[in-house]
Amino acid sequence: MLPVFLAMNAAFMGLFIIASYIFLDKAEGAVKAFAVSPAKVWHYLAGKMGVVAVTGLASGLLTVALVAGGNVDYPLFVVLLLATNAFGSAVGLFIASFFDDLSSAMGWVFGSVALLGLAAVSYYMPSFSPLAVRLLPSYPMLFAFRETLLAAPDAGLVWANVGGYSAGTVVLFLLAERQYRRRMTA
Amino acid sequence: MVEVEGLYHSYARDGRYAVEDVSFAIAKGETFGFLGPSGAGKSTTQGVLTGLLQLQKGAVTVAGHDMRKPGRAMFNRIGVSFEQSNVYDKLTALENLEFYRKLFDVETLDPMELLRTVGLDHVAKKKAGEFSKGMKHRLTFARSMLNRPELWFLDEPTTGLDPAIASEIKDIVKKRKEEGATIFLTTHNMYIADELCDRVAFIIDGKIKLVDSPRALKLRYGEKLVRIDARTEVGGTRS
Ligand SMILES: Nc1ncnc2c1ncn2[C@@H]1O[C@H](COP(=O)(O)OP(=O)(O)O)[C@@H](O)[C@H]1O
Ligand SMILES: [Mg+2]
Repeated sequence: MLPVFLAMNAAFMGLFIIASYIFLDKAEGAVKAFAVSPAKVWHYLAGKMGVVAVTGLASGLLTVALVAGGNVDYPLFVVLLLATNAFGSAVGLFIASFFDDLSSAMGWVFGSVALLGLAAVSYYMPSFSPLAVRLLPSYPMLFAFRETLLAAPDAGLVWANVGGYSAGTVVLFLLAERQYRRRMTA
Repeated sequence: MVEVEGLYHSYARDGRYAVEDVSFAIAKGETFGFLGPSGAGKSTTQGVLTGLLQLQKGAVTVAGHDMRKPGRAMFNRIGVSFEQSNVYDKLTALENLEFYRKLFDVETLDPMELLRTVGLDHVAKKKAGEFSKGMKHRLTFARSMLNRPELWFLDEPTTGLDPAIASEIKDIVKKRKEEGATIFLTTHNMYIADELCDRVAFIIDGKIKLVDSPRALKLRYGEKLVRIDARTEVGGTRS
C-alpha cells in the first residue's frame, strides 16, 4: 500500500495542487501584478513548484515515518520524493498552461490523474500489465518507492528513476514556461 | 517616454478591434489622460503598453523599450495600477507589498511608509481578503508606486472610491507629477482628466477622436463630453 500512497502524494497531488494555485492566481488577478514586475516567468513557476515540494515532502516524510518507521533508506527516499514531486508539478504546469481557468482544465487534470493511477492497478495485479500501462511515467515510480522501503535497496534503480523524472521535469517545465510567457495574462 | 503608432488590438483576432489605429506620444514629465466611456478601449491600450496584452499590430515604444520584445528590465522603471484590484487575499497589506518589492532589482520605497501614504497603515497587519473594495484598490495603487516609477500607468485610479479617498489619491498623483514622473492616466471621468492631466486623448469605440489640453477640450466639446460621461456613469457596468 505504501508505495502507491507515496507516489500519489508525490506526483498526483502536486499535479492537482499546482494547477489550482495557478488558476487561483489567475482568477485573483495576482498573475497580472507579477507580469508587470521585473520578475521572470520561470521564477514565478519555480516558486509554485517550491511550495508544492515543501508540502509534498512534509506529508510524504510524515506518512513514511509513521508507517514504516526506521525501515527506510531516508536519504534515497527524500531524493526520490523530491524528483517525483517536481515531475508531478511539471505535468500540472504543463496541462494548466493550455487553459485559462480551472473548470476548463478540470477534465484533463482528472483524466491524467486517472490515467497515471492505472499504474497502481497494475502494481497490485501483476497480471494486468499491458505495455501501455508499463510505459506510464507513474509505473516505475511505484517500484522505485518500494525499493527505498526495502532492507537492501537497489540504489542504482532509484537513481535511474531520479534521473528520468528530473529530465522529464526539465522538458515539461521549459515547454510550460514558454507557453506561459506567451499567454499567462491573455 | 511613450510612442504609439497605428496600434490595433483584437481580442478574438476576428477582425473586430477593441483598439483601432491609435497613435499618440507622451513626453517625459507629462501627465497624459486617456478619456472615454466604458468599453472604449482604454484598459486594452494600457494592457498593450504594459506588456500584459501581446502587441499585435502597430509600433509601440515604452520607456525606450520596443514592445515587440520588451524584456523584463523595463518593469523596474514603470509602475502599473489596475482597474480591478488584484492583491493576495491571504497576505496582509504589509506582506503584499513586502512580497512584491522583492521582485525589483532597484531600490524601493518602504512598504510601511507607503501604506501610511494611502491611509492603510492602521490595517497593515490585516489580511487583504478582509479589506473593502476601496481598501484593496488603495493597496493595488500603493503597490504600483513601490519602485517610484518614472512612468506610471493608472487605470481608473479614483473610480469607485469615496470622495475623500479619491481626493487623497489625486493629491498623491499630483505630488508624483511634481517630482517629474510621466503618467498615463485612464479615466471615464472628465473632471479627473481636467484636474490632473496636461493633455487628454478622447477615445470612443477604440478610436482616438482628438488629443488636446483638457482646457481646450472643455471649451470645444465640454457639453458633449459631460453628456457622454453622465451616460456611462449611469450605465457603466462594463469595465
Ligand atoms: N478579455 C477580453 N476579451 C474580450 N473582449 C474584451 C476583453 N476585455 C475587453 N474587451 C472588450 O474590448 C472593448 C474595450 O474594453 P476596455 O479596453 O476594457 O474598455 P475601457 O477600459 O475603455 O472601459 C470592449 O468592447 C470590451 O468588451
Ligand atoms: Mg477600463
